Amino acid sequence: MESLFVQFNGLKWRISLLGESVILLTSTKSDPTEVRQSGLAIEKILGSQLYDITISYESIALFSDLPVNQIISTLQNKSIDEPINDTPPAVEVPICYELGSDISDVADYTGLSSDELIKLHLDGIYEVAMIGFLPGFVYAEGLHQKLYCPRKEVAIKHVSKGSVGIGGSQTGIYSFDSPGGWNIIGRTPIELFQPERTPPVTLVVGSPFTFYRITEKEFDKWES
Amino acid sequence: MGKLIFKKVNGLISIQDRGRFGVRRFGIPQSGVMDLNAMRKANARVGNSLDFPVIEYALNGFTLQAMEHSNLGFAGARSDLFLNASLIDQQFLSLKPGDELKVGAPSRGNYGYMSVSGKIAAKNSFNSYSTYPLARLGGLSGRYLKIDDVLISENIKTIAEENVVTSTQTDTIRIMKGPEWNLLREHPRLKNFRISSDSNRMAITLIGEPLAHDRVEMKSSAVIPGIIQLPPSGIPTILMKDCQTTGGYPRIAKVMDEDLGKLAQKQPGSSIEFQLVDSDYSTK
Repeated sequence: MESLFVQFNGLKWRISLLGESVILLTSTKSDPTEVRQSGLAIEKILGSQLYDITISYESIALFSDLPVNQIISTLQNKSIDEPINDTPPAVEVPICYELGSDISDVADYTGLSSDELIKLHLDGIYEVAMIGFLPGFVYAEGLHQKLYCPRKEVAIKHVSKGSVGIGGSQTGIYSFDSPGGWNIIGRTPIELFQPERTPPVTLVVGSPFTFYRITEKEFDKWES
Repeated sequence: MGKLIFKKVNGLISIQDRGRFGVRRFGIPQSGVMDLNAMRKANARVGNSLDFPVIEYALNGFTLQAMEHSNLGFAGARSDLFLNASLIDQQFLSLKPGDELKVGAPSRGNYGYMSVSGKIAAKNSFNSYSTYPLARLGGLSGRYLKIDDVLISENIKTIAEENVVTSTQTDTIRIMKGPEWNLLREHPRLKNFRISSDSNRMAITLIGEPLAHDRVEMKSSAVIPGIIQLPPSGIPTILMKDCQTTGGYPRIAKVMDEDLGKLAQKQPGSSIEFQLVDSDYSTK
């Protein structure tokens, strides 16, 4: 397939089809922050002609009935003039490290003590890079390099809802009980997915967030 | 209108419609019927709007009893139907209160569909009645149906639509190139793949010889129903209606939407032949 490209927001994007009416823009430069901002800008530009979008680390899937050519000509050579001011509000996420079943494994691997690990984790400022895997499941950026820890060789069958995990350089929060292969360092009592709410997720792509520590007792008594 | 009670439930039975759209950004899968044409046929048989929710059943059948007069239509995988213990050969049935209907296990296909005239009452989640149990969306309380569940259909006047598309009877499954097609070192049609019995509403797994391909480390990216993923094993997996919204394996191709229902009905063990169709951007 001969490749087709579009220049948008100062980045070069490879165009491919993901489905009959789904166009995939893949950035030739790996910069999740710029991909994310481009995705949010495209949402604004295409407005109601875009009926859904999946923003991920390197690519943006556009769900639209517009012909590919029209999307290309709409985006070609455009840049985001004004910064996107309506970045989602920052969220503070409570976390109980006592419920992190793999915290000692991560400490062993990284050579940190549990206290050092927790401090590094609490000092981090994170941003949602992608939502996927499960409804409301958050993939975040901002993990301190010293906390990188490869995912488990074999996924386990049950990871509890709210678990905060580390898989390689990635970090995320499980929105439902599910199988999973990330190392669990803590658990949050907040609901990431509530279908009766608008929007149904607490964290959206681009949401900045930080963690604050709670005790096991506070976790048990938590009411969202 | 109609009112039915489930007396026996043996397989996976759920309320489904076309699925949910516009909420992938929240990580919510599309869901919806595995065989869209069959859903539309079942609805046409009772004079419903073609996109009304229906009952989808797989693996085994069920038994129900009419609590009120109910008109039912059947399509998709064939099951033996027993009305008050007598085998009948009809795809439209009019049940009187007290009538008992046994629906056998689907054969010649995997997914059977039952429509009820009127509109089946179910939970509306994000503009769809499709059941997605993991997040308790749609259906009856967001779960598969069980014994003693009561199904009510509301009398809604609809203009019956006749134009049900019949799917082609060939064995081939048409595919278009996916974003990572170029990783393939050989054409998928060169290998003989068969459907594995592990297949479900999330994915159809295949059995066969691995496809030669270049390996790459990929960051997770968007996927949709129909996407053919190629894990390191080289044996493709085809994502279906309840698939996640993102995935980390190369997307070598996608089954054309029109052929997804036909694929869903292919029984474990049957072979599958891919035919590549031209997906030219300019003619989309």
